[in-house]
Parts: sequence; C-alpha cells; structure tokens
Amino acid sequence: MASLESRLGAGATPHRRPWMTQSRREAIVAYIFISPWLFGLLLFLVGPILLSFYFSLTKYTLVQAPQWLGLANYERMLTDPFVGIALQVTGTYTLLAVPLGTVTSLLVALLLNQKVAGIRAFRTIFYMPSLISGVAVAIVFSWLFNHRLGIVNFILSRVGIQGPNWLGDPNVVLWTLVLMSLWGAGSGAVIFLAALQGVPQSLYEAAELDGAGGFRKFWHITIPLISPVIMFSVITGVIGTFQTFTISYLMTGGGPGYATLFYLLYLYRNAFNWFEMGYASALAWVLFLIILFFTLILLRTSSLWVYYESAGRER
Amino acid sequence: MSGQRVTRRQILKLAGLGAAGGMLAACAPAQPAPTAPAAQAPAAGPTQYEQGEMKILLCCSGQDEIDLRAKWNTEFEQKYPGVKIIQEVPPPGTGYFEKLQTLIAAGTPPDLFDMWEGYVQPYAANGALLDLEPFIAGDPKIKRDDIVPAAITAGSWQDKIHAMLIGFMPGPVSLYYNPDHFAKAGVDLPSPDWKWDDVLNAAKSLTLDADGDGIPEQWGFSFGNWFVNHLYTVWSNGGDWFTPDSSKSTLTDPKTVEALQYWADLVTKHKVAPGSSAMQVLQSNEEAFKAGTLSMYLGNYWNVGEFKNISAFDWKAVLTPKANNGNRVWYMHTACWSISPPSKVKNAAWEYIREFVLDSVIEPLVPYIPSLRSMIDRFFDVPLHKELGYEPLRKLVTQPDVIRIPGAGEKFDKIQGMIQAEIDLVMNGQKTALEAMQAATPLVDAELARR
Repeated sequence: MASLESRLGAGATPHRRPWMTQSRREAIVAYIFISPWLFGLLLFLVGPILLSFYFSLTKYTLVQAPQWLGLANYERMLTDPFVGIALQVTGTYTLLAVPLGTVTSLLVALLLNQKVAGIRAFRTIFYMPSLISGVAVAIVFSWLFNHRLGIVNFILSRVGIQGPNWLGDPNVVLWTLVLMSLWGAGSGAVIFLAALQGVPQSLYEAAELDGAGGFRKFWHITIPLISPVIMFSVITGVIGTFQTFTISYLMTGGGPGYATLFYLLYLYRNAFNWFEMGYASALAWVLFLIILFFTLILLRTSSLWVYYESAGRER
Repeated sequence: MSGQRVTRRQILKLAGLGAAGGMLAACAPAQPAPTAPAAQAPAAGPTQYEQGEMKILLCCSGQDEIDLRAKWNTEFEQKYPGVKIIQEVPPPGTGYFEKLQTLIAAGTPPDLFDMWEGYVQPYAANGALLDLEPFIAGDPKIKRDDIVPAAITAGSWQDKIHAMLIGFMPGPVSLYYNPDHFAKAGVDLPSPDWKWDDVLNAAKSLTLDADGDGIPEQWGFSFGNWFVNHLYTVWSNGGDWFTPDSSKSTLTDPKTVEALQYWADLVTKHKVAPGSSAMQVLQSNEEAFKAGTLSMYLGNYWNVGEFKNISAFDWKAVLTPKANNGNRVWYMHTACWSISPPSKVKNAAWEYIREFVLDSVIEPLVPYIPSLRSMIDRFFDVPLHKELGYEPLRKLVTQPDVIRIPGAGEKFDKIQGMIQAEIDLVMNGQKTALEAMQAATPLVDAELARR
C-alpha cells in the first residue's frame, strides 16, 4: 500500500474498482439465463450418473435400499459367462457394422455428390430412412427377413437361391442385423457429402494437370482431406454400436440362443427384469470405460491416419 | 368377452423401454417415506379400515374387464365410505413389472396390485409384498383352512402368504379344436384321454399343403413356445427342471430331454406345427385358430374369451392331452393380489381383497378356479365350464401334485430365460434337446449356486 500511495502521491485516495464490473454483470446474467439448463443437467444427468456409480458398488434391487458391496459387482463380471457372450456379440457387431457403415455412407455420399439432374431429390430420398423410428424399422425388417414369406428370400428364390433363416439361424442373425444397420447410412452420407463439397476443386485440377486418374485423385486428395470426417464417423459409429439395444430387444430378444445378446440388452434385463440394478450399474460403468478406451485409441492414433490441414501447414 | 385380453407373453415381449423412467426412479428415495397414522373409519364400517385414497395397479386387463372392475370399485366405495379408489392400468405394450418396480423405487408404490405366480417370491424376498397372514388370521370371512393348498403354495414366500389368490387355472388347460377340419379329414374328434401321439397322428392328417410349396395352408396343431408349455410337457413326461432343493438343475434328465425333443419334432421333423417364422406370418396361435388355418391349439383359459366371438365355426375344447405315459401335470396360473408394505390403507386394501375374492368379480370374463374350497362348486357349476370339460379339474383341490409352480424361487424368471434361449434353438432345429440342455446346464447351475 505504501508503494501505491507513493506512486499516487501523498493525500491521494486510491481508486477502487467497483465489484460489479460490466463483465461480471454479463457473466451473472448469462448464468441466470442458462440456470434452468444447468439445473436440469445437475438433476437429470450428473445426479443420476453419480448415483449409478454409487449403485454399482451396492446390491440394489430397486425395491429395497442399496446395500454396500464394494467392488463385488465388478468382480462378478469377471466370472459371469453372459458378460463375455454379450461383449463378443457387441464387439463383433461393432467390427462389422462400423467399417461397413462408414464405407457405405461414403459411397452414397460420392454418388450424391455428382452433378446430375434431380440430385436434390436423391439426397432427400437417401436421407429419409434415417428419420424413421428404430422401432418401426425393426418391425419392418423382421418381416422383410422372414424366413418363409419374407420378400428378401422371395427375391432370392426367384434367382434360384434358397435364402437362409435370417433371424432364426444363430450363424446368420448377426450378419442380418449388420445388413439392417446400413439402412441408416443416409445420415452419415450427408456429413460425408458436406466434407466432399469442402474439398477445393483446385487440388483436383492440379492433379489432373499432373495426369492423375479418378482413383488416384480419390485416394490421394479426397480421402486425406475428408479423413477428419471419417474419424468422426468411426468414433460415433463405435459409440453407437456399443449401445445397440432396440433391434435385439424387438427383433430377436437376444436370440436365437445368445447370438444377439447385446451388452445393453443384458444390462437392461439385469436392471428391469431380474432386480439387479446394482449389477446393471456396474455393467454400465464398464461399458462406459470400454467406449472411452476405444474412443481414446482412435483419437490417439488419429495422427497416423487422419490428415489435418492446419498441422500440415505447421510442418 | 369382447375386448381382447393381452396375454402375459405379449406383455413380456412388448414391454416398453423403461430406462428413462428407471433413471428418474433412481433419483428418488429408495425407501418409501414413513407412513402417517391413518385416519380410522367410523365404527359403522364392516371392520376397522383406513379412509383415504387407495391406488390399485392392474396388469393386462381388456377394456371390458377394466369396466367391470371400475363398476365394482364404485360399489366398494359406497360400502366403505371414505375410501377413494384410483385404478390404473398401464396401456398395452407397457411392461407391467417395469412400471411396478419403478413406482416402488420412486417411493410411490400402489397400495394394491396384481401379482403373478412366478413373481411372488422375488418381490417378497425384496420386501415389496406385505405378509398377509395377520390379515387372514383376523378375518371374519376367510379362513386359512379354506384356502386350497396349491393356492397357498403359489402365494407364499417362506411359508407365509404374501399374495392372496383370487383363483388359479392349469396351464395349458385346453386343446381347442375346429370340428369342421376334423370332419373334412375324417379324423376322430379329440377326447380328454388323448395322449401326445394321438395329437400327432391327427395333426398329420389335418396339416394341408395343397400347393406343395412347403408352407401349409392349414396347420394341424400348434402350441406356444414358452415356459408354461415346456413345464407342462416335461413334468407330464416325468421329468423336472431342478432338484427338489433347487440347488442344481436336472435339465439333462432323459425324461426332460425326451419331452422337449418330442415337442420340437412336431415342428422340425413332422412339420405339423408352425415354427417361429411361420408364426410371424400367422401373427399368433390365437389369430391362426380364429382364422381357420389351425385345426388344434393347445391354449390357456383366457383364450375362451376371445374365441367366444368366432362365428365361422363352432369351436370345441377338451382338456390338455396326456403324455404318452398317461400322466398330465400342469403349470399353475394364478390371479392374485398383493399389498405394499408402506401402504397407508392396509386394512382397507385387505377388505378390498377379501370382498373381491368372495364376489368372484372377474369370473364372468376370466374363469378361475376359486382359491377357497367353499367356492369351488360355483366354478364347476357354470354351464360353459362343463362344456369345456373342466369337471376333472376338481381333483386339483385334493391332488395338488398335478398342478405345480417351478422351483428356483426368486431366480426362476432369470433361469427360465436361460433355458428358453436354448429351447429356441431346439425348436428351430439348430440343436437337439440333449445338446441344448447340456449347454444350458452349467449356466443354470452357476446361477443357482450364486448367492
């Protein structure tokens, strides 16, 4: 204070900044405006998330107060054969559906990026399936894939092929669900389409001058420049497929046998059919860690397979 | 019965997605708030009971049944002044037990609710059902000795009644058949003494595939691929699912395997009964029977209501066929009431249960054998029940060994899912019954052993 007085001069009163500055006032107003959302976030998202972690450490039947178990639910998962089955089913589905879905979306986007008459109508048509509810899609596809009278096997029979029991054969059913997942490729295609349209034409023109053909342009220009979008598609795909529920719940009930016992279906049954909410909460947290693990791997390895334009310039 | 009754299986299959509700429930206090002292009724009432709202949760009732109950509720309110009944029925397609669990978890359970035979033990074990013994002991009209032994077993947990049975019925109780099909095929009509082989032989003659495309236009026979039927087949054949103390499974018992394989063969080998793919086209056994594309259907008591409206043919029914060894052991369907332990109107709820049971409120729509011996004749004297051939069911009162509920207690729901997953493969022809039961055994035993 002495130094301040000496700087201000003797007898001068120090100028105190008011507590309620303009920026503070703006911040308070902003918080007031977003407070309903914040309240909702804490009450309906953060609260249940924290509670579910607590429940995962307890025996909680939903109808009785939780009893502390420590890590017993997590230990139980190590010896529960159905966890292994569910992870295998879900992992296999992810391994099949994500790459196939990404490639299909990209191919559709390439088609929709052509300058042909009526392209806007085509774009709408390809996007529309993703607007239909998953429940409706599941019911319609269970009819399409009906072993005896489904239209898929009917068409196959017209060309002399005896179609499989799409939903009844444990060796086939997961492939059926993967095929079905391509139904929603339109939504991914829209994102790829935006990325494709962001690729500068000048790069293609330069490549053409250097004699590059269609495939080389696609491989050396298009793919690198849209690789961040591919990464986005893969990450959201992995997150989504690990949470697959509706199709197995409605179409197959986890069967035949356990061929479509997805992780989330098993979790749901524990929580709402078998009075095992504590164990289901532990399953949910492990699923979260699995998804986090794969997401981090994809992000950490992205420098190896994703081209970032800004990073390229820095180099 | 004009309204379609929603079957339990449909309810289970179409159970709604309850995750969001569950999350909300998770936020709520796990333990219900302590109950305040209830206001006592005036001395004029039939017995001492609390006044106030009484919430009732029903499962899977058709509209006509809901209306019938609502009318009776009004009469009850008049008889018990001060009691206000609020009756709720989840819409079709909603999971009843998801709804009930969520209400309990949220600390707002109904005072009185529907219970099922397989759920009494898990709910009671989790403290969600009130012990009804003190109410029965002090009741002026219902005596424990009057309750049918099988009804006591089905409604009890740790030898104490936690669910009061309105009534019970064997499952599957009837072989429904279309006499016109039999006449056209020149096949003798079914009798109550038919055995499984008689059903198979008739079904072979009744199954018609005129165009030879491998998809019959008329199926000779059908049955539900669910645990009620499998329990009946295995028990009737002399097999079982668990050891008497429910510590281990007996799935690979030769008689158990034989029974399962016999019924799977009707679909996969003899092709006289539709499998799951064909059933999807037919929509359901009931629809197929009503449409005249099914000659015989092994069904349950609730089918009577919907079959009453068939005008295209004059359907008939006989009792469930016996196993080829001559035995017939049924699964026990029940209709029962339970009271929530934190209810503020426990006495009023018990009054409701008692009056409901004694009045046989739903008997005109859903036939149940009353749980009280003193009311048994009333059921068997109904002309329709005579016509359906129910008379031999009288022995269920004195011979409880021919109607059972499965072991495994509170774990049965989970375990039957494990077994059913394997049976589905047998019914699809993917596995033999022995292979399937060998695969299920270690999983079931592990679950039985888990504490």
